Amino acid sequence: MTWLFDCRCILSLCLLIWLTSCSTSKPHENAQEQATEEAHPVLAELEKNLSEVQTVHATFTQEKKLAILDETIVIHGEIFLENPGRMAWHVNKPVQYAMVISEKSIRQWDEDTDDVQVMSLSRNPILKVVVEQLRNWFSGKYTSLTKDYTVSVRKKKPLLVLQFTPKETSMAKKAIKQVTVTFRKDRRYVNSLLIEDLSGDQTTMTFKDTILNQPIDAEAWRVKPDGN
Amino acid sequence: MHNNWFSVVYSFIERNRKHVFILVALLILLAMVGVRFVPFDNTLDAMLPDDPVVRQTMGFLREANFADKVVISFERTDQDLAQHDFLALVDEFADSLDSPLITSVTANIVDPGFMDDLAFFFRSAPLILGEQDLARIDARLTPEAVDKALRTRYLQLLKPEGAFMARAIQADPLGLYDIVGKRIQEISSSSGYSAEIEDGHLVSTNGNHVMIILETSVPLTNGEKSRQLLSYIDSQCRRLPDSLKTSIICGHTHTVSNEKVIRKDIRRTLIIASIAFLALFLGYFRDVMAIVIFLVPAASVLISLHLSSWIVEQLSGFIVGMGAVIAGISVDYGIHIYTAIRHSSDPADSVRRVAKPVSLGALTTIAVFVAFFFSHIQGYRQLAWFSIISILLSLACALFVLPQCLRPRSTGETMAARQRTEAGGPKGTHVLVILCFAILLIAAGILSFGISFDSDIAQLDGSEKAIIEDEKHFHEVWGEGETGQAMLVVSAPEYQLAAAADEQLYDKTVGTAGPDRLLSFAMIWPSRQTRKANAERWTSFWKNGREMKLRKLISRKARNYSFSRKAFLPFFENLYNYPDPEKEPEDNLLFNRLKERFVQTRNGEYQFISFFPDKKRNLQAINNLIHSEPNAFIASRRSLSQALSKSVSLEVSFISLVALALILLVAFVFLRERRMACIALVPALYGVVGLLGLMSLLKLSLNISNLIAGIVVVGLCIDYGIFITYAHRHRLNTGTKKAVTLSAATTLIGAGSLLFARHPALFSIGLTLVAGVFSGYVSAMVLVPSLCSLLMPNRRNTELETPHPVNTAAEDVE
Repeated sequence: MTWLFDCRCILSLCLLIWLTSCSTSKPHENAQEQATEEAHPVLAELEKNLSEVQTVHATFTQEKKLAILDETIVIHGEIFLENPGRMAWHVNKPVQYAMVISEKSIRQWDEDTDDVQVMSLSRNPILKVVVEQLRNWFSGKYTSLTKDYTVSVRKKKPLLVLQFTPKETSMAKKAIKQVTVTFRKDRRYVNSLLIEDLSGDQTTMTFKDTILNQPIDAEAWRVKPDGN
Repeated sequence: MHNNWFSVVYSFIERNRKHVFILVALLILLAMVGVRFVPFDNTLDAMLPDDPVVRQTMGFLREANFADKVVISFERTDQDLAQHDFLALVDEFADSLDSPLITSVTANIVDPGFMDDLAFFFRSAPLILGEQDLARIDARLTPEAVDKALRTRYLQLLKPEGAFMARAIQADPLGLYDIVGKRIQEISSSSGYSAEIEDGHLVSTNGNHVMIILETSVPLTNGEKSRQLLSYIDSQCRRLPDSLKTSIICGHTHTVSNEKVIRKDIRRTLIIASIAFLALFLGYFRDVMAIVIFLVPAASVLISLHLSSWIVEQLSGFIVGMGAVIAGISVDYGIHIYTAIRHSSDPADSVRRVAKPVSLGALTTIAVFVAFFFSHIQGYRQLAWFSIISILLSLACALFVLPQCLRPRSTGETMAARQRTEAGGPKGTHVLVILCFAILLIAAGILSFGISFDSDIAQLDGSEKAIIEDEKHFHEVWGEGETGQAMLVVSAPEYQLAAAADEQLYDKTVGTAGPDRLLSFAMIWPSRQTRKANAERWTSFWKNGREMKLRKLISRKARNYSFSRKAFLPFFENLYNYPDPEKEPEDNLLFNRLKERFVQTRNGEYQFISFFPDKKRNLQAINNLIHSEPNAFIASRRSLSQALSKSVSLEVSFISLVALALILLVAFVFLRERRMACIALVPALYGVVGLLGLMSLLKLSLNISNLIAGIVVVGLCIDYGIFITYAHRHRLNTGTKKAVTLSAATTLIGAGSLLFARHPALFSIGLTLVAGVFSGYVSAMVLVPSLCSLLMPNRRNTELETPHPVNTAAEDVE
């Protein structure tokens, strides 16, 4: 009867998984499907372009207009990307902060705590969702985003602008109104990203000095300056 | 007297030989046809002691919610198969399942309402958080703590995850509700499994496995339905492409496999034993009619199977598996009768002469099995019925039916002519033999102290290797899970009563197992009474000046981080806006799933289950706490093992004592001499000590199945002792050793056939019997004659109760 113990474990596993599930998709609505269908050739082209990108290094400026804050927060930093799956996010102002994402874990540090935190993505499902979203937006995996978002082409020239609207049944619908992505002229990488949430908060990220397919300095994968 | 009734019955059967043959043939035929319809119990239940902990644990596990789950793990064997296509194939498989035996299929774990369901628990924090939690919150209502909390929140907004956190920060600026979140996380992440979500599916961390869960209406104990269920799932699995491999993980596979293995083992051991018996008889006696000797125990066991199943309703498969052993024991009677007839010109007379020692042998063996009637283990009592009926039928057939099939072959040589005095040999040789055996006994005795008792019931699981391999692989892929978890179960006839009892026990035990180690439903959903009390306490806590204090503190400190004046209004607006403590959120899927894990209804009672590490210290402490709680018990592998060990040890000690008393009684009553009886017991002593020493040497352990075999060894070995001493005493032992050798050989064949069994319990019984019988046989053949020569003077045949020279069973086998 020892297998009964195992059955109980299986049940708890089901519960664990169920509890930590944060991603969802349901049958598509016709209009949404149509919009995504129209954007599909563009998405395919973008994916093809971005698939040729092995590394990215760019500086960014992030502006957060949040109802919760009286002032707009302006964040300056650098982003590093190395396919497949490695990403670094360094903030220089207003506080020093760094985050390095690998396949299985995430490491982060900030000057306030001066602690390096290492977290397993499989054990932090919410963080995993955030990381997946970041990866998708910055590494150009737009086709996978179509499961949760309806994609429409807002503009093709001079710069390509795509609008991603969460589907009714998507979990993202609970927080995000829409995401607008503007691409570089050569359509090889993102130029800017605007996230609007349901409460009216806006986050804009603008990338500058983007360097593609150049070796990334090992220092980029360290979260703590002069540390690990 | 004995001779009178024997003669009457014998003559009657002799006169009605034809009718008796027809009747016996019909009985055997009916028994053969009917054997297919004899229901076997293939669970372990019959082999478990009637101990409250064992029964309660096994009953709980059998009826638990998780017992009816079937998990299918899909493995992608072709790496070219894209992840999306892999998941699509799994979905397709799940959709294809359409059987009344499967009540639900969970393949895609998606719930759009999850966040709302989770939010309900945060809104319910005032109902969940108790007095100690409020004390912790109170400690955080200081300028320094508020400033630190707001800075942490501000920094969170600067980080990437900040994009998703603004609303959460507004609702709980100080992270006061984190206590609730932490508890939900503890409950959900403590299972020990590693899995990820991919497109709503349960995916292994390496991405090559996907899991689906089926619920079924088939109880674990229903072998027939389990077979149908697995056969259906298997047929569906076969339709999958080669790029996918499936593993089915559930209790039903064990039920079906154990049944299959036991049935195969019974068939295999009976065939092996039958071939060996036939070869031995035909080879040794060189007479086709010797086959009849073999038929006697075979027919007896077959008929006993039916008679026993009428008495005990459902025989345990383990007990039926011992059929070959019992046949090996009871074939001895036929051998003695056959040899007596073959060496005599008067069958009736020769049978009458051997009837007494043969009956004495059967009686001592029956005495051992009678002891099993005093056992609290159902399986042992079944064994008593099955064996005693088999032995009695065998004895009756050997004495009355077998002689009717045989013809005497004697040349008229009298028994007396074949008698000769035991070749005693020099006294020094006997002393040397006794000394050597004494050393062996001491050595085996010392070794036997090293033997351990293995109370893990997993050793009785005879499931096929493929199933065990699948489960091993499953754990490698998905983790070990909660195999180290024990369950504290509290029950009551009403839900609220059970909830209150569970909560009370949680409060009492939380300090024992460690607050972060005991997982209870009370952690996230207390009883109605407590929810109401918590809500009142919460309201009074904040209205008692703390709300104003916090408003002021936040207003002052929020400016440091540019938080707007209205930033944290949602927190204060919802401070008293908590759900009704009287109601349960029946529509909340998250709540219902949690409840399904921690609460179950059985036989009109509500059972609340809490989980804690299955460690000796915890078990002891929690056992002490629940000692006075009649409605609470622990279900754990360790406590089950402890209870089994204690209970079976007591059981076996008691049975051994009863068996010993009965054997001594039979031996002294029939042998009528103290010294002779003591020497006759020597092989039994060597049988037991020898098997323990040998098992210790082979690093084998005793368990609940082979312990019974140990007791059977005593009954078998004492027979050898009786025959040798009896023959020595009456100087009739010219053929004794050959007869005992033949008897031991048949028993070893029966027991040895179990060594070919795949089921660990049957194999273990076979090994014990072989080791014990062999040790007892060697001592009977070598040591007992020496003991007899030194301690027991020969007696003349004229001292015997019959006027004729006694023809013991032993002497005829020449």
